[in-house]
Amino acid sequence: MSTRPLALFRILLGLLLIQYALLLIPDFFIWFGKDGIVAADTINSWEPFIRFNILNFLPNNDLWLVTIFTVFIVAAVCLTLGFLTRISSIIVFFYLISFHARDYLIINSGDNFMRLLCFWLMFSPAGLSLSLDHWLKKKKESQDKKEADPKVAPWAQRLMQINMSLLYAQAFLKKITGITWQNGSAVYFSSRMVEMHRFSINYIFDHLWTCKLLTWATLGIEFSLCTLIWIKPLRYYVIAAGIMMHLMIDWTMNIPQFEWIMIFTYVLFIEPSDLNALIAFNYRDGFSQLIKKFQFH
Amino acid sequence: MIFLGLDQDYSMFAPYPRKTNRHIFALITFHDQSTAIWTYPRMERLGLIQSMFKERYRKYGSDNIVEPAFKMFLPDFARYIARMHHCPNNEPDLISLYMLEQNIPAPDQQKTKFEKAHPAQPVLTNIFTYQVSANDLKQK
Repeated sequence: MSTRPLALFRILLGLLLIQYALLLIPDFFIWFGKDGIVAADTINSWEPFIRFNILNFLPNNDLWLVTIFTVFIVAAVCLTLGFLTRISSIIVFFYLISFHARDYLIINSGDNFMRLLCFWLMFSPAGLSLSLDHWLKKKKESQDKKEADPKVAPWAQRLMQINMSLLYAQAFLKKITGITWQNGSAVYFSSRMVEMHRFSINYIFDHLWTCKLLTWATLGIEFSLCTLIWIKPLRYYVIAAGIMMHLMIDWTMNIPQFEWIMIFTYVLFIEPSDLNALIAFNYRDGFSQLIKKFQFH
Repeated sequence: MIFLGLDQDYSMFAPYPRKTNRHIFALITFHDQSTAIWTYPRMERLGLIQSMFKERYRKYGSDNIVEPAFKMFLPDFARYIARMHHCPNNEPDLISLYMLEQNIPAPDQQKTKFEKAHPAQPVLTNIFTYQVSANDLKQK
């Protein structure tokens, strides 16, 4: 199978990881520093089990912290560019879980999922196309050996897809037991949490029928994203509904990154032939043909 | 699995969204018995870009630290506030953490359009009080 969807996903995830780091910078020492809001000793003794945290193996000072964080950013940039992809994906994963373990109180479900995606990415051939690694390899090899889009067994990609489906299954099964999701008021309540508010869509959140419709639509879409997405003829419709749902949440609520992690994961479900057609799409000719098609004669 | 961070929990607004708005603040009592109020960053008062950068404060403050499951982190939080208000001639003696919580009124099922509801009476709760020691104010 073509590695292009996986490679595109690697680029998008890499950009999110860079953004994750940049968003942390202004309050970096508050969250992770030795004089920060949570002491390293407290977080380490909080849970009965141990989480891997590279910072625990290093002296507890801010110089080491900054060094590790800098390496993480460099690795995230390399991952995005597809340079030393395997090594950079390993560094990104182990450093990301370390920062999550260092301050577990500031991470959300989206961060959890990003961590899991980084885990699967370590085992995937994500650097085989759309990458500097591939470009450098092509330069070295002779002309006849060149292969623009190498084919591989898609097991790592499949595991990421299954992981995403399980995540939506978990969300659906948890929500369906809640009374507000059953009676249709969940969107009403969530839209009135002032601290999460971003932009308003007044009509929708001011009417009972729209709030109920959106509440139940959310359940329907999450159910579809764990079941119907596996039925090929329905896949793109389900993905379109998922994108609409996440974009609407992103518009109305301030949860940076969360929705984009989910939307970017849908790339893994795109058929390689469709993705290749999209990449090869000649916009000038394509759009002029589209305009001609819809012109009135 | 947990060692490698492979545990998964996708529970946003599940099993139900929170039905309250809350924010926290601290009352700092200094050695000379004067007091000051420190307000934890409030997302609704920040601009668009700033609130993106500060979103982790919402997760820490509104979702986690006020919940009983995270009470062991409250002394760290109090010490952090004390260090912020470190003043060599008049050190903070006592940190009292408070939460103001306001119920979101339930939707009126008889009406098709919701009127702007009167804000509910906020409930003030003292979530933690911490006696600051000289050791707490030292930078590690």
